[in-house]
Order: sequence, then structure tokens, then C-alpha cells
Amino acid sequence: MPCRCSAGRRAVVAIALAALAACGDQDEQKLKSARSWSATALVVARHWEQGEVPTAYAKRALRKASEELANGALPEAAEPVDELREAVERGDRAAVRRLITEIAGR
Amino acid sequence: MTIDLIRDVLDTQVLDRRKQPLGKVDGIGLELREGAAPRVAYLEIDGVTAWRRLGARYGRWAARIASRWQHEGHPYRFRWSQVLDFGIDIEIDVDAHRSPPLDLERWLSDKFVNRIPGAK
Amino acid sequence: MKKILGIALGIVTSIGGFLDVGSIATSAQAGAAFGLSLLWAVLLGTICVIFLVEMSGRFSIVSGHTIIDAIRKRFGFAAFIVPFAATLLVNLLVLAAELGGVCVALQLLTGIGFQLWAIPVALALWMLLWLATFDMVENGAALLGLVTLCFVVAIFVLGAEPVELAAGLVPSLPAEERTHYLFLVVSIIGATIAPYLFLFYSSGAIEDKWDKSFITANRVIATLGMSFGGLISMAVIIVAALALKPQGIRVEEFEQAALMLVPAYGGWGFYLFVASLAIACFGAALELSLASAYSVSQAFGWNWGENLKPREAARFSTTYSAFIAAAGLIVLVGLNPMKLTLFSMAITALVLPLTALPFLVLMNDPRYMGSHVNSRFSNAVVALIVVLTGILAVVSIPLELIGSK
Repeated sequence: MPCRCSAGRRAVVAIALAALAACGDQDEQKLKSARSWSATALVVARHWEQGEVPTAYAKRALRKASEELANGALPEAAEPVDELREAVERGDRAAVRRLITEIAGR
Repeated sequence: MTIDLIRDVLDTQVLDRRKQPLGKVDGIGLELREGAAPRVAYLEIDGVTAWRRLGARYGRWAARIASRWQHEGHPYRFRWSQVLDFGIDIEIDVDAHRSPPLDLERWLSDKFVNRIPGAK
Repeated sequence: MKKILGIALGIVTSIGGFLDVGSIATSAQAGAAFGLSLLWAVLLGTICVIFLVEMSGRFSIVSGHTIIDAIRKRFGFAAFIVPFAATLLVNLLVLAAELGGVCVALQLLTGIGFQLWAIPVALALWMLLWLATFDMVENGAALLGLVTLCFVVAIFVLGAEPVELAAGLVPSLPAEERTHYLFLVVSIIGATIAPYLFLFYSSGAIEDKWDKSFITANRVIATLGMSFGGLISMAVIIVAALALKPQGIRVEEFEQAALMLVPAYGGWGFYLFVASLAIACFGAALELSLASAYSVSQAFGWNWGENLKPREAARFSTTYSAFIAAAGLIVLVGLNPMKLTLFSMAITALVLPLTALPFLVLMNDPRYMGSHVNSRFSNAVVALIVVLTGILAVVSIPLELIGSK
């Protein structure tokens, strides 16, 4: 019996250690996620500007991206995404084009 | 032919004489006889019996729920003499149409299914 | 001639019906985050599902039983009912994920939130089952599902390196994000080997009254249908790896996955993705609702069948109605559809041994299978994949839950 108990305990310890390692990854993962949302916003805007995705989708995706960014590792990146969304809502392709160059240049 | 009651009979599908499903063999009743081998008294089709095999408490819960649709004749029992065919399924010489194992089917039909358009 | 047509239809419908919300979501996420390096997980799952589907057809042909029916009889009600209930619960979660997938497709198209689509979509699904004959619905959905071949075509448009593709088929472990990688392995395999797939297939073999002359046909349908289906799943990984990863887009939401076909098809790409998602999920939701109702009916010995009117099978039709209603409610609550999908796929992998292992016991029981019992090789393949995946699921699901919050 004691042997089974220690095997169970060993498994718990192993999982706990792995969980700690996972926590270490977490900051890295948050940063990756934020960069990905920022890239998503740019790509969505570019496709919208070229008429490749519907406006309803672009608005929703940009709103989601700005929310994720605001609550994530790069909150300062949310603002330009909001500007993109507003330009899409106005149907202002020229502004979207300008914003894309601006953001990509940063 | 020898038949292993647990292996070959218990939990086997039961059909009526028109091959309509009646249910499963949920329980087997044995009759103990003085000075002779026990013999199969009846086979039982009843969900409550099946749940009771998990434990008495589950049986009580199942019975409470099943009392909503079960009329008389439960638990439903048949005798080996009624068996017409014994193979993958057990076919017995009854008519499922009005039989107690189909109480739930009729209850659902009346309460729910037949009241919705397109059920026919 | 008729048999050849039947085989062709069987293959085509298994290809069209292969993708579902699980394979789309897990493959898109895998390709975007890890490139081609998770292709092997789809390959492993596909090999296992080919074996399982072939077995389930052979089992029903030879024994005349459906799998559920036989598991109850072989192991007894008390041992049967708990794993069965667990499997049903997971089916319900997966059904909710599929419904959610249809709702998300509509959200992508219209911008109207997916929760608002839960009731109309659930109602449409239910009405189809209630009013139409099932094989018509089934085959129709699976044929429409051939639209998912657009993922395969996109590989050629984008151009993939065959050497890199081949490298992806060899299992490997990345340098970082290992826990998420392992979780994706589990969800991908869970998405590929959905138990409802082979339970459904076994019911179909009984329904269509396959006799022993169908043993070869069954082998051909299972092998070709599932292999080509697996290829589409791999195509989703490849397209995500080629189209999303270089742009730095990871798939945390369907909004991001929706971009994956645009580089290949331009303006059509978005709509092709939406159509693939909607059709694949709706088809899978049809199959799942039916498979769940079949299983319950077979477990309790009720009348069941593809073409019975609701009035002739009140318990059967009540069961799928209740399933669809419950799944619709889960979508309505508004759980994140992507997280719900990944989680339910991982749980599928976790409970897979509960159906697959008893089924293997049956496949080796000469009282059911006569001379058609399994070979040692197929036993080993299925047992190994299923058990290893189950163990991996036990470890990686809690880790993912800890890591994601």
C-alpha cells in the first residue's frame, strides 16, 4: 500500500512541476498572443481595404482584437486598432490604408 | 443445448412476434425447489430492475421516475414457454403494441411527440 | 453495379463528413502555432479511426449486433451504464461545439453574435430530423461537405514544400510551449477519432442490412473514406501553416481562422471558410444527434431507425430532441466556442478508451465474431493509440487548464 501512495504522490509532484513550467511560459505566451492579435488586426484591415472580407466581419474582428490587446501584454497597441475599426465603420478606405502604413511603420 | 443465463440471456434484446422491440432482459427470476435444481421462473423487462442492479438506491430513484408513466403490469415478466426464437435476440409470443414495456413510448407519444406537427 | 455505387457513395460521404468543428479548430490552431509539426497527430488519429471504423462495420456484419447493444450484453448493465453515460455527456458537449460552429459561421458572415443564432440553428437541425428522412439528410449534408476539399486545393495554390510536409509526419516535440503542444496532440486525436463516428457506422451497417458479402466493401469504404478525410484535416493544418503562421497570426478565435483561405482564394476565401465551417459543423451535428439517440435506444432496447416517423419511435425522437435542446442551451450560455471545442475534443480523447477498449474485447470474442476476430496487429494498433492518447489526456488537460488562466 505505501508504494501505491508514493507513486500517486510522485505523479502529483510531477504534474505540479510541469504546471510551474507552464506558468513560466505564460508571460511569453501572453506576448505572443498580443503580437498575434495586432497582426490579425492589420491583416483584417488590409483584406477589408481590398474588399476581400465583409464589413460586418471586419468590425467585429477589429473590436475583438482591440479588446484582447487592451487586456493583454501590449495594451498600448489597442489604440491604433480602435482607429482602424473606426475607419472601417466610416467606410473610409483611404484612412484605413494610411493607418496600415502608419502602424506597420512603427 | 446449454444456455448460460448471465452470458446468453441477461441484457439480450427482446422482440415481440412481429419483431418489434420490447426491451432488454433486465432481470431473471429463479425458482428454488426442494430437492431439485433451481429453474427459471420468469424473465423480466423493466428499466427499474436494470437500475436496481447498480444498487438499491438507484432502483428507488428509477422507480420514482418511472412511476410517472408506468401503469399496471410492472415489472413486466414472461416465461420461457413464451419464447419463439432464441438467437441474437429473443423473440416472444406477445404483441408489443399494448404491452407494459411500451408505457414510456405511449406516454411520450401522448404528452409530447403527437402534439408536435409533422410527427405522423 | 449497385454495390459499387454504394461503395462510392460510402466513400464520398465519409470524405464529405470527415471535417467538423473539432478538426477545423484543432488543425487551424495547430498549423498557425506550430506550422507543419503536428501533422503526425492527424496521421496517428486517422490510422486508428480507419481500424476502428473497419472493425465496427465488420462487427455488425458478422455478429448482427450494434456495438452498444453488444457491449451492454457482454459486460452487463451495471458495468455498462457509467462509461456509457460519460460517453453520452461528452457527445452532448461535442454537439454543443458543433452547433456553436454553425453559429460562429453565421456570426462571421453577418456580424450578429453567435449566441443569438443558437435557437434558430438548433431549431433548424431539429426540424430536419423531425420532418425529413434521415438518409436523405445524411447523404445530402455529407455531399455538401465536399466543399471542404477547398482546403486541399488551397495547398496547391499556396505551394507547399513536400520535404517539409514529410518532416511533419514524424512525431517531434517543440522547444517551447510544450504543454500547449501536447494538449493540441490530444485534441487533434480526439477530433479525429470521435466515438460517435464508429458507433454511427455500426448502426448504419445494421440499418442497411449488410451481409458477409460486404466485408470487402466495408474495408474499402473505411480505408479510403477515412484516409481521404484525414487528408482534408491535414490540409487545414498545412493551409494554416502556410497562410497564417508567416503573418504571425495565431488562432485563438474563429475570427483569426477565418483568414486562412484568403491568401489562396482572395475574396472567395473568406466565404469558402465560412461555408466549410457551417456545412461541416451542421453535418456533424446531424450525425451526432442521431448517433446519440441510436445509442440510447440500443442501450435500452427501444425501437430505433433511420426512417421511422417520430410517432413510430417516440422515445427515439424524444431523445434527439432533448439532446439538441440541451446543446442549444449550452451555446446560448455563451461559452467561448473555440475553447469549448478544444476542451470537448480533449475530453473525447479522455473517454475514448471507455468505448474503444470494451469494443476491442468484443472484436476478439469468437462467440460474436466467429472466424472474423481481430488480428493481433489491429488489436495492438488501436489499443496502443487509444491508451497512450488517454494517458496523455489525463496529463495535458489539467496542465492546459492551469496554463490558460
